[in-house]
Amino acid sequence: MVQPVPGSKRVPEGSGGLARRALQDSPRVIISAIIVVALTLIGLIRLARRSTELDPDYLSEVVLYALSAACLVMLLALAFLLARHVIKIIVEHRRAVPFTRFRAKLVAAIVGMTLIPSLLVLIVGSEVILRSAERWFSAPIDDVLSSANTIARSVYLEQQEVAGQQASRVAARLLELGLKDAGTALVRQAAVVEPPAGAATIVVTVYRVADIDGAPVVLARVAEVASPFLPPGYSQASTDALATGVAAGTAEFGDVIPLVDGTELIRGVALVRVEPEAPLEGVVVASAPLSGDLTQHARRINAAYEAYNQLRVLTQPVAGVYLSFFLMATLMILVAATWLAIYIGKRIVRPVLQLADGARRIGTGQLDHRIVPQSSDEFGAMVEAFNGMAEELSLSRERLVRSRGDLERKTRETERRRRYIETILERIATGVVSVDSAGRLSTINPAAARLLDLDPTVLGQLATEVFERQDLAPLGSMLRDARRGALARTAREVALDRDGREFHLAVAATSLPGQHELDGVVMVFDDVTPLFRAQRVSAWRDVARRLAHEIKNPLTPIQLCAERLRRNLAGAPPQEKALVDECTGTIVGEVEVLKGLVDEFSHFARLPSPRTVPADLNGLLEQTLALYDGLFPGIGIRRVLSPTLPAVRVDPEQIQRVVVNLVDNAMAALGGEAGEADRSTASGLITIETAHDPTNDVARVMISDTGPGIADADREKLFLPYFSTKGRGSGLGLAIVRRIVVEHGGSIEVADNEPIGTRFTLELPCASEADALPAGKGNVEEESA
Amino acid sequence: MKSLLGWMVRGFVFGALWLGGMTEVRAQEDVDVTTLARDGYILVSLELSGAYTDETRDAVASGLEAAFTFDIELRQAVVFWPDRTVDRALVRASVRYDGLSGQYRVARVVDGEVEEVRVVEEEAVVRELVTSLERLPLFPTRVLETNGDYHVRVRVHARPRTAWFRWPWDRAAALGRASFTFLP
Repeated sequence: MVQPVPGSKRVPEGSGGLARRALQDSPRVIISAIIVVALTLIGLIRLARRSTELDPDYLSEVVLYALSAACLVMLLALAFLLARHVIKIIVEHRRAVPFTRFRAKLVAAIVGMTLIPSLLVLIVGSEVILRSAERWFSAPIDDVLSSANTIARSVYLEQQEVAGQQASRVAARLLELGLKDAGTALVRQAAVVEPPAGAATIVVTVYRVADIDGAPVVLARVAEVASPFLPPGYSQASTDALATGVAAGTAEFGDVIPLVDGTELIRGVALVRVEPEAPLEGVVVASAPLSGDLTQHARRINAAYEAYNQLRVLTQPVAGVYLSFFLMATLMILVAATWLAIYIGKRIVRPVLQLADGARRIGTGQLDHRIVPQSSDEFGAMVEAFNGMAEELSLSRERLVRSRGDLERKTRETERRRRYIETILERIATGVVSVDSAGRLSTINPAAARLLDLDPTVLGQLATEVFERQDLAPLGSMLRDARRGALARTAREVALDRDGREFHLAVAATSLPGQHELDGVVMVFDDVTPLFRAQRVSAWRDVARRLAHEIKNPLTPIQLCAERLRRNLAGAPPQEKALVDECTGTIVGEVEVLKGLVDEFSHFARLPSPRTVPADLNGLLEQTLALYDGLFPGIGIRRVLSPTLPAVRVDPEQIQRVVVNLVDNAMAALGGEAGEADRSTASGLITIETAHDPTNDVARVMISDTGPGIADADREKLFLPYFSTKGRGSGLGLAIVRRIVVEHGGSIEVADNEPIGTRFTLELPCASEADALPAGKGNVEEESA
Repeated sequence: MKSLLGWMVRGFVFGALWLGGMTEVRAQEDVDVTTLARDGYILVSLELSGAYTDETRDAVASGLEAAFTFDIELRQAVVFWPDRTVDRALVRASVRYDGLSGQYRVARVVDGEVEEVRVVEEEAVVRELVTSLERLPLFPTRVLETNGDYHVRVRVHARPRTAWFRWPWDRAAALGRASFTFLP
């Protein structure tokens, strides 16, 4: 027994018209139909057996009608079954339903195998019936029955003739007597006539015409002479009706009346008239009985004769009844065989079609489709296996869906982390470069590209080729070491020289070990140039402090000693005195110079921390530049101040010193080789611009000149202490400027001015909104000379 | 498959033509019908010719009851529609032969009521009685419209039937028709 698949669902079956239908496929219905057919056949057989007992007229009218109707119904059922099957086969064939040809051939084979023997039996049976019908009648039986019937009828005719003769004899007597006027006694006397020998007349009734002109003729019974042996049931009314009918010409001159005891009364009628055309005077009815025994024998003979003749007359319909039995049985067999063939075809093909349809549905993704097992045979096992496969597929898909959900969730998480890391890599100032196992650059963040001056298009190129560049050679060396796996992680400070400027990078290279080989290398760069510079400045400050301390202390004794020498040797000879004065003067003068130099160093070393307050940078610049108004007529100072410049938090005194220092340097640059000594004759233009960079939230101050510019090699050293291109001075001015700017959290850069000269760019962080000052006065462009 | 379907179609067409032809042949048998309006009735006279055949005579002689049932309908024509039946009468004329007395007992029943029973000895009279109706007052004229066009349709069913097969639908042995315009 095939058990339903757990969890299987009843779903609509597929197309093809082979779905299981509760009514047609119900075993009860099928068994009931078989029982009905069997009972019908049994009924037909019983009816055929009893047909000999039935009246031929009943057979030909009722039974033949019923059988004919039944045959037509069966014929229509057969035609319907075949036509329906043929049409369905054609439609299914056009729809390319599988096994259509197989079903058609199966039905044709079964119907053919049934039809041929059935038709043969029908033909042979029909021939036998027709031949048998011919044997129902034969000449001897014809003769016997005809003769017997003639004898029986002659008895009746003879008795009828006797009655007629009796009536005629009485009529003749009455005519002689004159019926019209004769009295009843005479009439009764005339009615008594002796019958012929062997015959008996029981009743003679005489009627007289009462109204000759009436229509119909009115008769009056005059006399009736009856025998004492009159049988019971005799009716005078019947005799009156016969007489009246004969007188009116609507009845025959005789008839036969059955009586209650089986006796039959044969009556003869005679008219009382002189001539056939003469007026009717009366009517005489003579009744002669036939005994019951004789009558019964005669009737039985006549009945047999009539039945024989009726069978002859109804030969065709009676034979048709028996033929209909055969025909109906044949049609029932054919209908049953056809239906059975169609049914078997469906039962054989349906599981296969259901499997095909189920496979198609599974293929289209309907994994919840199940086939209801309809049998426990091999097909049932196939259906069960199919349902199991569908269940497994359904579970697998559910697992797959769950896994895909997890994978999508993890992918989203990974993507989110990747974007997070990408954002970090894009935003951080630390450069990151990764190299895959094949040695190709797989990652370069913007900071790395900026620090290494690489184009992002180098991604995918071999790292060794990229790092072959001269300034990146140290990085190439580190990368090779990391890829060789010599050190899992190496950290080194590397100085890169690019366009005469020195960059200091802290580089860490980390190899990424895989399962069997190196997965790649990650290099991290940090721009430590500001730190390096700060360290250098700090070192210089320390040197300056020590220098100031170590030099300044002996200067005063030296100066005092020199002056003491000059005083003590004031009285020396003039030649010696002149020498002493010259030497002491030189000593004192140089000591003063050294003191000034030491003071500069001391000031650089002891520069106080800025005391920042919110300040209007434009106003601060205006105040500072006002100091130069009218001092150098050949130098123009142009102000391009942004009106939207926000407030900055600075130490105004120190920023003023920065501006003065930079403007002084610009003026010195405009003085050419003469430098500061010839500022009065210098000419050129100094431009001071301000701008706001909202992206970085800084205020930018650009101070440019139209001087000869600065060589590339000097730019990096420009902000180092004790470096000067002017040949005199302490070389601490720009160092102090950078220190002030850095301590304000800003930066300073030097670049070439277009088309000529040098441009210093300061960036100072803007004050917070709480510190903000009222907005500026508007864009100001002013030039003074 | 197509040839099989074609043969089936041909078979159905042939059967339909055969049945139609049979009906047409039977319908050619004639019943003379005459009508007469008198005394508030439509009097109908019928003459069924050729119906009392040798088979009928043999059947009567064998003692079987032979009967002719006249289904008489008074109908009114309706345009574009089947005729309307105004009235209907069923007349059954039967005869049974007594082989001993040699007499025929003829009965006529109109709409279930016995109208006449006669015993005759002449077969010619019998034939006349069962195949002819003379001026039977069947339909009252009160239901008729003046100047209305009517017709009387007669279908005759005879028995006993001696065919091999009986069609489920009862086909008339003979048909007759007479049209008239009613003028009171």
